[in-house]
Amino acid sequence: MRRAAVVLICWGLWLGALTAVQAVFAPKLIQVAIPAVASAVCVLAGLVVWALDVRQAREERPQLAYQAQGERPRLITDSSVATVTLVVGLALALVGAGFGLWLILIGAGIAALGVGGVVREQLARSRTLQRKGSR
Amino acid sequence: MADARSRPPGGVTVNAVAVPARVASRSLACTDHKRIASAACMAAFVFFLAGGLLALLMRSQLAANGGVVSQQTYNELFTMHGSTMVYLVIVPVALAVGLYLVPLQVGAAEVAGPRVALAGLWMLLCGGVCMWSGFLTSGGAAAASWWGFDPLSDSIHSPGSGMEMWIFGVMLATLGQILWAGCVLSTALRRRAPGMTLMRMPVFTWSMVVTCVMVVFGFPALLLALGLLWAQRHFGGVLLGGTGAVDYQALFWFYGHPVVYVMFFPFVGMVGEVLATFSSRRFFGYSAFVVALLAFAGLSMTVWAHHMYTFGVLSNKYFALTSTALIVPAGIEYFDFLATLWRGSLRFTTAFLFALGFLVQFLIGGLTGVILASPPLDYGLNMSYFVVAHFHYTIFAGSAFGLFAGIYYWFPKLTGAMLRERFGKLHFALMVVGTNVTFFPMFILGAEGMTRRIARYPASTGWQGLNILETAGSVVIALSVLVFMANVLLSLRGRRGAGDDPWGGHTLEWATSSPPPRHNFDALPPIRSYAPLLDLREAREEVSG
Repeated sequence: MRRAAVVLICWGLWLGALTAVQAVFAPKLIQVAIPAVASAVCVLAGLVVWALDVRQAREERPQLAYQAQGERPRLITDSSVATVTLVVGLALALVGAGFGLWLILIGAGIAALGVGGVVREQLARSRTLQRKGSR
Repeated sequence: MADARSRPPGGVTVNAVAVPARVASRSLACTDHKRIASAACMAAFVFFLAGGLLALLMRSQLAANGGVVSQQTYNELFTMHGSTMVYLVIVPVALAVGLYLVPLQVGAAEVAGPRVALAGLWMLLCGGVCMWSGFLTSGGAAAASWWGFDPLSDSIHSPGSGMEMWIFGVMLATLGQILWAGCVLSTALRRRAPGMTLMRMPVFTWSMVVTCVMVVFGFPALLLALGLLWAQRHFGGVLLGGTGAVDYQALFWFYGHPVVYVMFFPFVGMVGEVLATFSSRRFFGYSAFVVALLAFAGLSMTVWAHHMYTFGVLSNKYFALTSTALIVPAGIEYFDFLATLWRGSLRFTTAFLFALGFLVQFLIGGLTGVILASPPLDYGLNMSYFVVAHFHYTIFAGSAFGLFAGIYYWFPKLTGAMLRERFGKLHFALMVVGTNVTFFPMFILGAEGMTRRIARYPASTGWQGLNILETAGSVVIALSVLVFMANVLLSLRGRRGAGDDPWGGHTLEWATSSPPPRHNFDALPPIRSYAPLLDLREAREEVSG
């Protein structure tokens, strides 16, 4: 295991400990609540990363011989117009919250196009990976 | 398509396939972390020029003691100057440099979540355009300062679309930064090359890890605060009573103080790399430095309410304790820097000079921070030019110098061309003079009682002389930026080839070509410490002699 989770868990606990020190100073609720939430989310994220690492280690165990030759082959996508479309659509929809429903709808339409594009890109990626794998 | 398989003795093979893109989409929608980071840096530089122009206008107003712009326009100028520099320049640049370098430093073929990184870039661009388009609205741009405190920013005191555009712009830019931080953090923690353990990650990568942790777990507080502010403006009843405004400030400063360290840690990492390389020495006290960084990052998330001492609502004693405790990890980092230089074989390149400038000038910013961390002293200096001087010494005299150290150091890796050293040293000299002439008199003016955000001051105060001096300093800074731009253009036009490793670097990015290929590495050297290339050189020297 790569022990990446240790960083997040330890740092989250450190922030939690610093937050707990406030108890001595009769704190207001908000000054405890904000860092407490942040530290809890950080520890939680660390646990998720730990679970991912454990799962990855299990999956890779049968491939140890291959691993010795280097890291797993990765497909690197070079561009994603769909992502840009999605972000521009979301930005327009957000700004629309201040300017009216018409802009929200335009933004949502563009974002929907972007989502479709991202799905299409993912499918193309899967097909390419399958072709590479079958060679 | 790129498929690279070559294997150095004891090293690892990098196995990556790149799918080619159409030319049009390559420039607009490329998912290569290097291109995304470069585009972000260029965008941030444009915003930096725009924000700098606003600063020059403000300085002209203060030098003339009025008459250049109206009070309302002045409010818009300092709001947009601060917002631009924080939300669109320093934080994005800090994260963008990490986005470029961290995958290279940990030996990864690409960043984790390349589409997410691309989305982050476009959110930043949309956010910047949105924020600045406030100037085109009938009521003008936002004028409630870079923190947009309620009730100053509510619909009664800040009517019109400018404030709305500011809220959406800041939200988009911040969301983009959170996405980038997630990508960089995932890359450092889960995409490292075989042999690259946590305690073999370079100093800069560690500084980015703590930065990204702070961004991911601290910045959402700003999104929440801005969401509440927007709801307050439209529906009312959200930030109400005696605690509503305080709650907004608490949420804002839970972002607003960590962001100061987000604008500091990456540059600490850059300076660490530069000092080690140009001292021709291994970085001193690596483990202590890493622990200090992690402790520093935790502490810096628990000091935010020192911006609210004068409210007398939150526990000043606790925040004074944590704010003062920051001296300990900061002291460890400074000790490591100085010990790295000690008995080193120093090379006084431009990058090294900027790193030294960072060390000295940030110290001034840091020590005046100790003064402001003390509630009794802060009661006297709060909202004065002393505070303005303090944060400009940390962010401009400190972080910007660290950034330029990084730019002069890594520019050859990014472009394959060397920057001109003579121009670089002129740039450094002008920046040192300009920075200190601009910002040091602010300490004096602040101590004499000149408050922030005033467009005019009584002539009887005798402050005009120092204000004219500061304005002259800001012109020198502008001149230094022109010299830098000329240097970049000249160096790119009349290229002097850099080679793969012009400085004798210690970390993995110097093991690949300049600029690196799409998949970053054809092959990696063996990784046995946080300075694998230095290990190789030392091993070769042992063999040869």
